[in-house]
Amino acid sequence: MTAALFQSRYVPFAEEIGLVRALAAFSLTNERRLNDYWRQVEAFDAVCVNPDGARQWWRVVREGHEAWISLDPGETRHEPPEPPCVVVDLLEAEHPSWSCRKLLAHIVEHYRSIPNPYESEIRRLAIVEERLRDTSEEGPRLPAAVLAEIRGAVETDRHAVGRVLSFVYDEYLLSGRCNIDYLTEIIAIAQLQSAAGVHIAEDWLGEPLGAAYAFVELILNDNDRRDRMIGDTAQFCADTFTMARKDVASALDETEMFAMTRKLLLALHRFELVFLIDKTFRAAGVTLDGSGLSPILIEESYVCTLTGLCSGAQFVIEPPQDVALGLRRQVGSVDPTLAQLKRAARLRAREFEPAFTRRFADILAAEALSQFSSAEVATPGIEELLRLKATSPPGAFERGWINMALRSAFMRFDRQDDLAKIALEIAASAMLRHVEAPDA
Amino acid sequence: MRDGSVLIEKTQDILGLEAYRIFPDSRRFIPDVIVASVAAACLGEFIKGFVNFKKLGEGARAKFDELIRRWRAKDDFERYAKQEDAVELVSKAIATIPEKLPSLVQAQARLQAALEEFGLSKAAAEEHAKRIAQLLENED
Repeated sequence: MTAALFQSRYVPFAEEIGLVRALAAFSLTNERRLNDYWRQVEAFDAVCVNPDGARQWWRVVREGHEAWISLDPGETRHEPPEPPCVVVDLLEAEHPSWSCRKLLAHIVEHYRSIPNPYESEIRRLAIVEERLRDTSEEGPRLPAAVLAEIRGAVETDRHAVGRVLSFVYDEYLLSGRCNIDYLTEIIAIAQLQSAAGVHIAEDWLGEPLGAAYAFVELILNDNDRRDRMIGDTAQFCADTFTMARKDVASALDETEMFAMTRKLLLALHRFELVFLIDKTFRAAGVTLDGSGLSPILIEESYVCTLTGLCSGAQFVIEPPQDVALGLRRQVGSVDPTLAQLKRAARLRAREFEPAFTRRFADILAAEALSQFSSAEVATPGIEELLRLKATSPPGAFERGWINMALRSAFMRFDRQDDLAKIALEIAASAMLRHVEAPDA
Repeated sequence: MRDGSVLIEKTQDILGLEAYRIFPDSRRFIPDVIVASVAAACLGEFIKGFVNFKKLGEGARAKFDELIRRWRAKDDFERYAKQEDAVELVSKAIATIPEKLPSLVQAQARLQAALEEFGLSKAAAEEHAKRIAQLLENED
């Protein structure tokens, strides 16, 4: 797989979606972990020959810890699985054939052909270029002044922490200027100090996670503070988890794919925050029962959102027609209904894999139906595409996608008049994008 | 007549990741059939007071009750739900409930209690039960 946007096929505003989605994925964690993730995805995607039908496990080593992952049925173990089984070592896999870094570099290059990008795109491009220059293993961290401000706020009061975090979210988390897992560790330890009503005198910014483990253990041994700490933290986790689920729900309901990514990033950070805090308590032998959350729920919420963000980035390098074609294969019927295709499309537009908005999933379902060679089967798909374009105000990307799908369908059924109209619209939008100054 | 599969799908959207509670902590990658089965059992719990079991048949009733019991108790639910096709079973039960439903207050309270037993916090259980009740109300 190369890192060309939509396999170099023309999709209006593809570079904007590509930039937002790839930058989001690039910000999830440090680059080494990210590449490990893609390598794992590629390994899982590869067809494995297992003639004996024995259960297959993947052995994964992350930061010195071994884990065995089975996909069918899905399970993760930290002890070797019992025979009979087949164990495939992921360590022997090649490096991923594509990476966010390659994709981002390609997008930056692609932008050179656009004479007047939007102001927001110019700002985002500057961040991407800065990120690409940084080849350090840990990736960008928060500047010392911001860290000092967070520390100062923790030593003041909860309201001060809230004000600083609001700034940090906007400037670093949502803009892609900082690794989310590092930032989440900082916020986790800040939150723990808030819940305990006491702050750490020593430096906790260098190794925030290590400080969090030590701090929780210390407070849990303090009888005066223990109960308050457990109660407040459990409530914080429950509230944060609820907010994160609302972020995902709201992202899925967005009318534009473009706007979805920010909400998913915030959700991911919140799920990770709960995940880290819950882990520090479990390590100290305490479960936050008051939160009503179980470890599997917390971890999978994080993993599912991460998958949605990563699969959303990978989507921009897939051939556009293949996305809808995949739905036809998935449904398997020779003459599927629109409802069946929508159901299949929405599998990537739900909490388990929030890669698309529900609206975009419906566009893909309609496109899949419109791709059939029989006019009788395809016509409801074409009509649905026209309806989606007319009744809901889609964003520039969605409108462009619908237009390209309609163009293919009109060509297939030789609808010359319709084809002429849609070609005109596509050409006009491409011309505006490449000639006019959009912010003028 | 109500479309059971549509109601179950909407319930899946409401429950979302909560379906994972059916699994032990070591399990991952929940299959779609289990997500749908958990939603079906949850909806079954809500509608059980309205089902015309005479129409549904004795055998189906026993399976329907057993499905809900296994869901609440997390007792080998996965195998049973696949074996008995939970979505089909609950869809058939939905088809027997009257068009006009009496008050849903009791059903909602019962489902809330079941969801709390399933592991949800009181607030989350209350919200989910309310949204599922609204699904049924809006179908009227």
